[in-house]
Amino acid sequence: MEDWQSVAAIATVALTVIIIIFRAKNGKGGGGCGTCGDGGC
Amino acid sequence: MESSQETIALAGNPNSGKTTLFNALTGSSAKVGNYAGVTIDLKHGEFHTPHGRKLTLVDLPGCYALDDSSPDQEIARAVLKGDHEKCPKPDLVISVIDASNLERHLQLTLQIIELDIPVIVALNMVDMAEKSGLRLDPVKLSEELGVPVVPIRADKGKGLIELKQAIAHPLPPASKPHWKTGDEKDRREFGLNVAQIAARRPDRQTSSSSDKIDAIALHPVLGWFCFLGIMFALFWSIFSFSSIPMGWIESLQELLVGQVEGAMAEGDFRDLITHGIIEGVGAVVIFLPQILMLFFFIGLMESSGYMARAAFLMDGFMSKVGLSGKAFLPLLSSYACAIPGVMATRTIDSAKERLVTIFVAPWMSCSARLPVYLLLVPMLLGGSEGGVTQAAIFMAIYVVGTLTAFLVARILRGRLGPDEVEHHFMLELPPYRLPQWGYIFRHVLDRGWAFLKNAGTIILAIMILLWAASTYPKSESDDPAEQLAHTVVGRVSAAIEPIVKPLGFDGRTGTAILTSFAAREVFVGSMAQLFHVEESDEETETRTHIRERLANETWADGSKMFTPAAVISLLIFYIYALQCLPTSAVVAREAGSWKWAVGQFIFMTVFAGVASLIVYQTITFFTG
Amino acid sequence: MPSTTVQDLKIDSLQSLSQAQVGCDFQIKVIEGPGCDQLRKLGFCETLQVRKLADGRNLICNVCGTRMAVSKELAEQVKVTPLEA
Repeated sequence: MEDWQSVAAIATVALTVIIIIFRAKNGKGGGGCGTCGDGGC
Repeated sequence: MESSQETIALAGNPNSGKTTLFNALTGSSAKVGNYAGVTIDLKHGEFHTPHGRKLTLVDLPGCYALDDSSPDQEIARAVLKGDHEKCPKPDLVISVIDASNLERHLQLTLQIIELDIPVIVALNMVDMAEKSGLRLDPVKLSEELGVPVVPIRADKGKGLIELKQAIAHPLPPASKPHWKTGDEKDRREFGLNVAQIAARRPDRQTSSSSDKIDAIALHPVLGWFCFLGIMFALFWSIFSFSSIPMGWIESLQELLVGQVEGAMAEGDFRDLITHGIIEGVGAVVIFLPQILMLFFFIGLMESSGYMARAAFLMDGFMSKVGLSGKAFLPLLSSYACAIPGVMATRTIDSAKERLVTIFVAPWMSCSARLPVYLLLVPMLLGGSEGGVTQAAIFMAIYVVGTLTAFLVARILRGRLGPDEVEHHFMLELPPYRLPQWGYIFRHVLDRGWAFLKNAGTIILAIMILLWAASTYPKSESDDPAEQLAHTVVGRVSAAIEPIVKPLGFDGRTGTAILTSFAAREVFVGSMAQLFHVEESDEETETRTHIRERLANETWADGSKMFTPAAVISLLIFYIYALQCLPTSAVVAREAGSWKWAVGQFIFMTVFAGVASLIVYQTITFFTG
Repeated sequence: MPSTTVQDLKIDSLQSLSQAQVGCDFQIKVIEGPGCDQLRKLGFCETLQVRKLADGRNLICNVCGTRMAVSKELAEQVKVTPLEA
């Protein structure tokens, strides 16, 4: 049953990449300092 | 126009309580503080009149007069004159006045009345003024000015209903000025007269409790003891009070790993969840209590009125590097996050001083660096957490960053040349106030939530990618070390090891540093992941703290990898490196050019590398 | 110009806020100099009462209930007379 795990892991990674690209396209990418709640962060 | 909502603007001098009133009317939680210049941009909100009419409320940055030069005050002026591109000319202005300072605050109100906009005066902090012996007469004030005057206490929510009722519909017409319009002298004299009629001061000024506190807090010698004492207490409590909640987060994390391992057979997906996600993200989330502590303390300083005192103390020092004490306020907020810090430079009058402050602001150690410091500092002390030594090292880290910032500011300031107009130091020292606990509490929760949100999005994504990069492509080998060498991370590590080795790091640490250019906290998670792989093949493996794992790590020749020299070198790198894309974006916007942001990024990163190199080589040279 | 000399004489008899004694109350008589606009905006106006609270590179004073820190150069431009006790 190791196969489904490999598939699931690769699928997760692929999904992450897609989400990152999608968000970057919408101008939401670029990371964040994470701690600043206001000020146009 | 019937359909469009009417706009009401809040205007007033800095620190007169506009944003507190804004929050009270709209129910939002915009940042407030007890010092001048907290609001630096427009804030929009909505509220309803007692008749159910919906109105747009705009909070303006504070300004003393309508002809001021600093960028934040220009915004306020543009809106009031109807020149702002994003905001229509307001249909009514609520002029917020601190009742204790009628003489000064009335001047702006008179200027707004001259603009032919309907005005309502909100006389704020009435109780404080009366406590100081002032006898106020709002009715007289209203008669003299020809506009409605409503006494309020924005922080306690008193007088809000009366204020809303005063905004009756249709809005009152603009009042006619009782002085010669456009004549500054006449206006000023009129204002002083009105103030004298409407607010009678006691004949003798008595010294308030704020005066007594200031006698110590602003004393040339004692003041510094106070300042350093407060900073030390801050760092000490960041360590000492957060070990318990950290323990909870750690056990929760272990519980999660146990659950997943119990429910799933061994395989790639389980490895991704346990080692990739839970450990990587967990390594960052564990520092949540400290982040909350830091913001709690900053909130205390902001709302008590101490910020202005710190700026006052620093002025003597700052003037030596060509900045004024006023520039210290944005720098102080940069300790929380460089972005609001960079934006807060709008309060600085001198354009050149502002540029310099923007340039050095990211060197104030922001809260994103906190997890990195918290991971590394105990390694210098043999793994022990808490205690005075640790707080001292922590303070030293912050001081090193700050001092270097000042040094660079000095050089840069010299190059930019003197200002065309001389600006002198002038700062309002607001009376000390008890913190607004509700606000601080909400603020701390907001920041904590933002930190967790970041951990759940960006850090999570990077952890997943890093896991993939350190797992694929797979090799035939069963030896975990060989397997790692075969993966993307292994190859990247091998490639950058020659570059980072002179700084005291191996390829994996170098890779972790690379990942942290997305966000500094990522470093902690990456380290947790990358230094896990080699020993994780046994079922009976006991989970050890990441710090112990790093402490036991060795080079190929068997010598310890994380020697004090290497740890200090890492710390130095994180003090100086600009690893925050959002900051660069904001710098580009505020400085008005991408060149400035790119130059700053390159300069700081190179500076960080060179500083680490020098530090590491010097220490190893002397210690052998 | 005779009128200016008369005014100059009057100003000479006043002391500047930077020379004034700490802990005493004064009345602002004249504000003049390159920083006078800046001073007026922050509430330093003729006829107003001011108490000097501390001396130093920047001095601290209380104008109409507000504590202000102003640089020595600016304080030099504020001429005051002591208030009768």
